[in-house]
Amino acid sequence: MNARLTPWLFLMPAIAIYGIFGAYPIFQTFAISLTDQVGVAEPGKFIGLQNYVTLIQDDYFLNALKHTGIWVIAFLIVPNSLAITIALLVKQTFWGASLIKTVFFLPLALSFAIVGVVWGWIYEPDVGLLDQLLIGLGLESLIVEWLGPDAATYSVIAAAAWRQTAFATVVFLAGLSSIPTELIEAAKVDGGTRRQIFFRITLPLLKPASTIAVSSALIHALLATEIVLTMTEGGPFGSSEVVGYRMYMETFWNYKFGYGAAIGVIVTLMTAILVVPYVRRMAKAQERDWS
Amino acid sequence: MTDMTTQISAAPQDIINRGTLRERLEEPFMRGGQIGLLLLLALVFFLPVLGTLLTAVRTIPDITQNGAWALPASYEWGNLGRAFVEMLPYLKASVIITLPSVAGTLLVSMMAGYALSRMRFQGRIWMFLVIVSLSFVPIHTQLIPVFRLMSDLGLHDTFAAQIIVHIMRQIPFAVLIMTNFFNTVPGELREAGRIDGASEWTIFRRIYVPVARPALSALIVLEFTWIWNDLLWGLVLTQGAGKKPVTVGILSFEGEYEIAWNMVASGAVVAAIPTLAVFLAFQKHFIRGMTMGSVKG
Repeated sequence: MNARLTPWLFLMPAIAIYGIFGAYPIFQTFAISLTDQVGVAEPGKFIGLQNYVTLIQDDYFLNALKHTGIWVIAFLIVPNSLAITIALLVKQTFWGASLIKTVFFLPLALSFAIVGVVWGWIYEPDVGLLDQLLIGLGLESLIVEWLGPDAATYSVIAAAAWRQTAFATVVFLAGLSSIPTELIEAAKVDGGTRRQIFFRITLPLLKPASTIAVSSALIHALLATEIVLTMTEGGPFGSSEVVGYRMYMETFWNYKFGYGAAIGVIVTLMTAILVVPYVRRMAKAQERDWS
Repeated sequence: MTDMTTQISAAPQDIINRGTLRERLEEPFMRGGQIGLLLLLALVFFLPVLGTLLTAVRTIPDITQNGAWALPASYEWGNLGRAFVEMLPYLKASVIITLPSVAGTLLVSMMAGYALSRMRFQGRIWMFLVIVSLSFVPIHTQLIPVFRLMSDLGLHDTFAAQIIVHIMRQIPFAVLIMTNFFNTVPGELREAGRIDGASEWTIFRRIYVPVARPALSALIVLEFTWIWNDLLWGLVLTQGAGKKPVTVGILSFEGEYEIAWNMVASGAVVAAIPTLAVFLAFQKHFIRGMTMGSVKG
């Protein structure tokens, strides 16, 4: 075998499959977004950036964009702070560690389709699990129409956050385990208080784990298509629409392929901006490994 | 118990500052509080699962009369059996889609990972960066052209279309994991093989594939779960019921039973069992795979 060719022979199957069915479509999506294509039957005609101009004046899209913003903020804060709390507690108490961990990790095995169906039952008015729980605890006053127009977005976020917390807990627990215990002991010898140790040692050393947890939360919040699809289909009255779901609707419901492609491009650009720091970190680590 | 043992073994190291006086007095309360908080969080976290299991084995009158959180008046295991029979075609489709997808992903990405990690060639770091970046590409930029391409190829509403697309989607992540794993394998292995005159392919197959077993088991568990749990491709690339995976199945199941929540819950349990079983059996591999450098989940 030719030595210069060998690496490419090994890479070939991956490149071929991804090239044809993954990379080429990415370029096509950009191209389709510049047309007024409807359905798959025939290509649309070139209309330049018209789809994008329409988008920024489209109330449905702007409404979805606003909700995506809420998703991003909520997802940055809620699952990550919960997960860091859980990880620290598990690490410090060791109480029934493996069983407790299983409980927190469990949602990772569930699809968004199942999470959506189960949480739909949780939010069901009156008979649902949440209302029944609140009634049992004498907290009827807290009950709202969980999947109604005012609360739907937040309720769907809570369901998705349940799953995201599981992922972030895995990441933070791994991060905590990678901190050498000698370091903590040494700090204790030097008279460090618990609070000092947490803020000066533990938290800074969790930075790699945080990068992963934050990037993942951002990506899931930006897309959030499957869970919205299964729980509310964006309703009622668009009150839980998000950008990713909008793209699916415009394309496969309204058959506006060109318009849907434009939303796809915007979603992709938003993701691209957010993952740059992560990719950079990976590149640095790899160059270190290979040099 | 733990306190006593640490005290005994820590005796010679009494110089270690075990916290200020206040911290030491607070210690038992802190610990009690921490355990309490942890248990409370775990309970809240587990409630959705518990509630679904309870609901699945009850009758509707039982739920409406005694409330959703009461213990079942009678255990209706038949609900699960009925759900299983109805979900069977979808479960079958999911198996037919998932297994070849996982196998294909592994084969293709092991080869690519081996080349990226073990061979020096021009454009290597560039190639690696492209692959890392591609693992973030949202499904939204590929849905439309892939849908069109599959229709053009006459592959719409087939298992093949879904299998190809899953392999494509999983390549970037799987290559990343395999590259990182092969990076940790000592290079002498390859040198030894070369001295013996073995070809690159033989070295890969006879030495590196067997060595990769720990990474492979983690990857298999993760890929199985992710591919099985996919919903969007299953919706977009299929038409009839026969080719739809179980994630789509549970939605039509929900539509069919509407407010028969015991059946909907049974359907959810049946649909979740394969990935849950894999997760519970191989939790360690699953977690190891997740921490090998991914932002997916």
